[in-house]
Order: sequence, then structure tokens, then C-alpha cells
Amino acid sequence: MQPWIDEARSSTLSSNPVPMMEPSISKISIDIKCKKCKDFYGTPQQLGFCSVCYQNHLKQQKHRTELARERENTVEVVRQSPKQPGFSKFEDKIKQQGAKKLKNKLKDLLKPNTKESSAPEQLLLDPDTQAELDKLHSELPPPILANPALEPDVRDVIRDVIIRLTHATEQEKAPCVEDLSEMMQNFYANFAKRMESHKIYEDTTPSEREFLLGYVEKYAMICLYPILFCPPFTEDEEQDLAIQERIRQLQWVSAKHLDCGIEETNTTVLNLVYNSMGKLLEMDSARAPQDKLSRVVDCCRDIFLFLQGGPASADEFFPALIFLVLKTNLVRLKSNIHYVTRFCNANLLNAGEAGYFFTHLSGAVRFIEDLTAHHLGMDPVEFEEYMSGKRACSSFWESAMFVIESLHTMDEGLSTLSDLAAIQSKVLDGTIQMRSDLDTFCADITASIDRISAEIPLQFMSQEKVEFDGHLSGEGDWLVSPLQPQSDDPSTALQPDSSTTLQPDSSTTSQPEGSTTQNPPSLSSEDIIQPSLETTQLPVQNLKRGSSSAHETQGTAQHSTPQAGQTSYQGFSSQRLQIPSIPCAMEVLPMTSLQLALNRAVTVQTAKL
Amino acid sequence: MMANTSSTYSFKVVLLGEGCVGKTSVVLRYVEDKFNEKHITTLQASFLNKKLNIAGKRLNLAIWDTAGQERFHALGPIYYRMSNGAVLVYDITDEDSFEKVKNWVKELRKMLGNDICLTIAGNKIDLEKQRTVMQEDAERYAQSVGAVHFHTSAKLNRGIEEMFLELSQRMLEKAQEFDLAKASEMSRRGSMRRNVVVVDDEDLPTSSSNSRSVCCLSG
Ligand SMILES: Nc1nc2c(ncn2[C@@H]2O[C@H](COP(=O)(O)OP(=O)(O)O)[C@@H](O)[C@H]2O)c(=O)[nH]1
Ligand SMILES: [Mg+2]
Repeated sequence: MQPWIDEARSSTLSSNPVPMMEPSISKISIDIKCKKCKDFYGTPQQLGFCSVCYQNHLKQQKHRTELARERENTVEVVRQSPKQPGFSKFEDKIKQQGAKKLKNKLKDLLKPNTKESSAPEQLLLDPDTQAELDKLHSELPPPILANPALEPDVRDVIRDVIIRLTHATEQEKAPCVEDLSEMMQNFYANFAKRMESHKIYEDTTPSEREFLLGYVEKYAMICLYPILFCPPFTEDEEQDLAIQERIRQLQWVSAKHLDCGIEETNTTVLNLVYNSMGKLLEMDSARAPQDKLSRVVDCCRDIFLFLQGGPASADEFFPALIFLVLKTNLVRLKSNIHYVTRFCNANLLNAGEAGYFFTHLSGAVRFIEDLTAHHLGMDPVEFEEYMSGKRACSSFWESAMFVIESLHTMDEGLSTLSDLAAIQSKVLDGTIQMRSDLDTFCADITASIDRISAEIPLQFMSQEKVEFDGHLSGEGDWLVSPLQPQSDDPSTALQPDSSTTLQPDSSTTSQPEGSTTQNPPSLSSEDIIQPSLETTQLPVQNLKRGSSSAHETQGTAQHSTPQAGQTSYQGFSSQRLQIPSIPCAMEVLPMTSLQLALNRAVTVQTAKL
Repeated sequence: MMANTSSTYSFKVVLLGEGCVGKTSVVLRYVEDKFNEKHITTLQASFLNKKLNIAGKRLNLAIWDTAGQERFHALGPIYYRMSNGAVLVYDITDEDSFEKVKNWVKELRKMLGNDICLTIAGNKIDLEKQRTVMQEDAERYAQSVGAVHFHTSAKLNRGIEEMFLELSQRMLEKAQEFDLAKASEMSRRGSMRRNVVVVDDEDLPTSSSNSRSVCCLSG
């Protein structure tokens, strides 16, 4: 089904065993502490390292790659360099691109990501990226996947641009991010042109081409994200920190200062603001520039929901957006904006609603950076006092957001509670069902025993100790076997004497704990709670009866337990009295203890035999 | 912005002008044919699309409303970059607003040269009695800067349709000129991302046969 997987695995193994060590790291990398120093938090974007260790890691990797590139086998090395997980993975895919294997692979990729198909790729790619790429691939329209010529070409195109961009960032001199942006933009334009002119694409519809263009962009950028988002050769990180600090200082700015029509006292409005902020926050977690852009669009669309009084124009929208950006204080704000500006297809970015909203987001950030007292119509001295913290800001907003936040938390809590209630009622139902099953079961057994002991008197000669594992599931496996057939003494068989038959022969009994056989067990609460059943030991009596009918009766005997109602035996009913006393609200306990009680009952009854 | 896919031209048009001159009203009248109405279906009047046909060509206008508050004036370049056209609106009863238009014109010509088509709209002509900006002055000024002047009223729906149609025609002409120039020249002015889809074929693998030659792509 997936020949390429084995090939991938074996080639990885044969060429160099080192990458095989990787999966253990990547699998446990859910650990949020930095993989290396364990002092700071690592992020998946930085392969689980904290920022310091990540920079070191990148340097190391770069060094390693450079050394390796001098060697002959460039392909192998590039593939195994874990620096660009996406790239490495991609190389893997390319390697396995034999024409006949491709179909299989396509099928595999069409399926939801099965365990096998993702296994070799996890060796080299962090699971989030992998999942995102798989999802992206699975969204390709069927006509595109059905065309066998398209897929290889698209892969070539993507691989090619990834290689070029990767190499460009690995140059000796610090790469210029504008050049990289240019490369990417030219790539989009060229690919669009290629789809128009190349005969491989002649059967595609315009909308499919548009989709492919988006696909190529997302795929390449998701792979390149680790090296192109907030890259070390730019000042993005410094700018992020600067704007974050700036926004922190500006927290005193209210909706009134900005003249925006947000009713800060209206809970509905506050809730909408809160939702909109959430959308903006999601911008940071998306990887493809297009996806980041979509988050911005979502956020801005939400803004219009809380701007009241007719259709909002830019006069109302823009101040509200500024306010939202101020109150959200998105991490890596500048990095996100730069990344989208540089690497999102310029045609998308500058046209349409998305372009409009993103432009306004950039404008809002610029406004915040340049904000002075004059912009807010304030006295410069007062402005300075606020900025330096001399004048305390009595922000209604902070408390309002706090309330909204708490309300949301409460909502979540409530829904968790109702989930729990549902589970609990399920458990209760199960318990009730179990009880009625138990009743039926007891009645059945009592009836059977009545019948059997009426037919065949039982006599116990000896007792053995066996391990009992109290499973209820199997039909008879919770009963101890073998139940020895009664000796074929016709006199005993013909003259049933219940008092002697059911009395255990104490002279031949070797009792281990001595509690179960002689006296009816007293189920204390401790006994009930004790969940372990494996060690419960059962004394078993050998049954004697006529050998002629031994085999037929044995089956019946195994399914039945001695009859209740003997004078020396307290019976099920009295024991069962203790069962309902178990509190049903406890989720697991009722089941276990019922089971235990049942097993105890069985033990006792078997002992009575 | 012009993406020439399947012969649909997309143009970006920015609305500039002082607050309260009627920018939003003008665009809502154009796109929704409504003025100051309570029941307007669009939730927003910030970004609006309008499709139209000119001489068998399909056009899509993306009309960008901009915040008119003075405090946002400095952000102008962010909004008008990459636009194909600008509608500069003033209120005929407000001389100041006409001065603002002059400032915008200067700025746009300085930043974008003749790449952008300019239209000046003297709005609220229903308030003719209160007019303070002289009609001839405004028209003469428009002509002097290569802009076309229109008299409009969002309230009475005057001159608005014509204004956008005329602007679209000019933008279309410019785009077609550009297409021709591009076709004859086939230049590699890759740095001009604006309006252009520059293609250099050598950047892409010419066929899928070289897919395995990864190593030769190094450097
Ligand atoms: N009489 C009259 N009033 C107008 C006209 N256009 C807009 N207005 C009014 O001018 C005010 C400002 O309009 P608006 O579209 O918000 O201007 P903007 O700030 O430039 O977007 C509103 O009260 C409109 O009703 C018009 O053509 N005639
Ligand atoms: Mg307006």
C-alpha cells in the first residue's frame, strides 16, 4: 500500500542512523520548557527551544549544513538537516516521487492522515507543521488530484522555491529580507504565468488555478515559516519588543480618547470586542501568510458588529481598530505584519477586503508608534504624565475586560459542569442497569440451583485453593473450574440429603484465609472499596456425582451456583442489601464495588458447594 | 491594483477628503443607491466593491473609504499606495475642505506621479445657496493638475454614477496602455510590483524532468 514509506525508512537507516534518533525528541517535545536549557519556555515554532537556545541551534545547524554541503552527497545531507523540518520532509517526498508510487501516495494523502503515512515524516518534521501540511493537501479539489501530471509539477515548483529561499538565507553575508520577499513575489507571479501558459495546466479552470496558487503559497510558506518568520537577520524582534512596550505604556488610552464609538458599558458590545480580540490573537499562531491575513479579516469584520448606528465607515472603523490593537497587544505584532507584507502574494494583499483590512492594521500600528498628545487632543504635559506612569489611569476598560474574561471563564466552567452532569447521569443509568442485571442474574441462578440441587444432591469431598480473577464478562469464566464430578455412588445420588450434601467436609478442607468458607463473608465498607480482585482466593470443593452423566451436568453446574435458602447460608439477598448502600454519585466506585460484591457472593457460594 | 485574470480588471479607488464632506454618503449612494437611510443592508461602508462593464470589459472597483479625521492624515501614504484612482471630495459650502483637496492632490502627484487617475468631487450641490467654493475656480484648478472635476450630491443622487464611470474609463485606458507597453517591451522591471506581473521563466523548473537534480541548485 505504501511502498515509499519503507523506502524512506530504509534509506534513512542506511545512509545515516542519526536521524532515527530524532523522533524521540520530536515526540516528547510537547514539553513546554526549552529542550536544551530547561530554564525558559520553548515554543513549537522554535522547535521546542527558547529563543536563546534556538538561535544557538540555528547557528549550529547552519555550521553543520555548511560542512556537509562540501561533501559529495548533497541531497542526502540537505534532506537530513533538521534545521528546516519542512524542507527536509519535502525532500523526502520528492525522493519518493516515482511515477507509479505517486498514485499511491496521492491516495494516502487524500485519506485522513493515517498512522502509517505520517510515521516516516514525523522523523523530520514537527507534528503541527506536518498536520497543517496534510490538512492543506487534503483540501485540494479532486479534479486537481485526479490529474496525474499536475501533482509532480506543483511539487517541483514548491520544492524549487523552498530550496532557493533556503539557500538564500544560508549565504555567508546576512541575507537581505527584501530580496527574499522579492524572490517569493516573483515566484508567485511566475507560477501564475506558468499555469496560464504551460500545457500541464491547460485543463484547469481559472478557479482551480487560483486555488493552486494559494496552495503553492501556503505550502511553501508553512515549510519556510521557521526561517522566514521573525528571521534573525532582520530587526523584527527588536521592533516587536519596542511596540509591545509602547502599547503597554499606552494602556491608559480609552475609547473616548480615540473618539471611537465603542460603548464600554454595554456587555453585548464588550463581548463582541472580546471575540474580536480573540481573532486578532489567532493571527500569531497561523503560519501561512494567507492564513494570518484571514485572521485579520475575521477580526475586522467583527469590529463592524460592535460599531453601532448605521453602516460604519472608515471614520468609525479605524479608531476602533486602533483601540483593539492597543488592548490586544498581540505578541510579535511587527513580525506578523512584516511577514505578511513580505511573503503574502501581493495580488491578494493589495486587493479586496483583505487588503483593505490589513492596510488598516498596518496603519493602526503606525499610528500607535507615532502617537503624540496632539493626536489625542491632549495637553502634552498630561500625556507625558500618563506615559511615565506618574498619573494613574483609572481605566474602566481594564475592569470591564476582566469581568468579561471572568464571565467567559464562568461560561466555560458551567459547560464543563453540565458535561460532568451528563457523564454522571450516564454512570447512574449504568449503575441502575447493573443492579437490575444483578437481580435477574441472582434470580436465574437461584432458580438453576434450586432445580439442580433438587435433581442431584451434591457432596463435597475436598477443597482446593485456586486463583480467581473476577471477570464478569465471560459466560462462565468467573466460576471456578474444574468442578469435579460427583462420585458415582448411586445411594448418594438417589438419596439427596441437603444438610449433609452442602456441608463442606471440614476434615479435608485446607483453608487459606479461613474467612470465606466457614462464615458468610461480612462485607465491610473497606472490602467494597478495595478494588483489586486478582488476589481473591477461592476454596473450591470437589464435587462428587454420577460419572455417567458427569459431562452433561458439568456444563450446567458451571453456570450455576448453589442454591440460596440453606440454613447455613445467608444468601444473595442479605448480601445485596449492602450493595445499594454504595453512593451512586461516585463515578467509578459503584461499578467496581458491585463487581467485587458479586464476586464475593460467588466466592461464598462456590465455597458452600 | 490590476490583476488581469480572465479579462477582469480590478481597480483600487481611494476616497480622500476632510471629515463630513460626504465621502461615505457618496460611495453608499453609488454602490447601494441609498442616502442616510435607516435600513441599509451593508454592515459597513468602509470597503465596497462595484462591478461594471465598459466596452465589453469587466471591471471591478474596490472602493476604499479612508478615515477623514485630521489626526490620521499622516497615514495617507499607507492607504493610497497601489491605487489606480482617487476621488477627492470637498463640500462646496466649506472652503477649508477644498484646501484639503489641494493638499491631497499635491501629495498624490508627488508620491505617485501620473500613475494615479484623479477625480475631484464638489459635493452637496443641493446646498447651492450656501456655496462658498466658486465653481469656476474649482474646475480651473482641477484642469491644472490633470484631474477631472464633478459636481455631486449624494442626497439627490447627482453626478455620482457619471463620476465613477468616467474615472473607470480613464483607469481602464491607463491599464490597457500599460498592457501594450508591457507586451511590446517585455521588460524585466521586476522591482515594480505595482500593476505588474513580471515573469522570468528561468526562475521556474522548465519541466518536471529535472526534479531530481537537487544538488545543482545549491548556491
Ligand atoms: N445636503 C447634503 N448633505 C450631505 C450630502 N452628502 C453627505 N451629506 C451629509 O454630510 C454629513 C457627512 O457625511 P459623510 O458621508 O459621513 O461624510 P464623510 O465624513 O466624508 O464620510 C452627513 O450628515 C450627510 O448626511 C449631500 O450631497 N447633500
Ligand atoms: Mg466617512
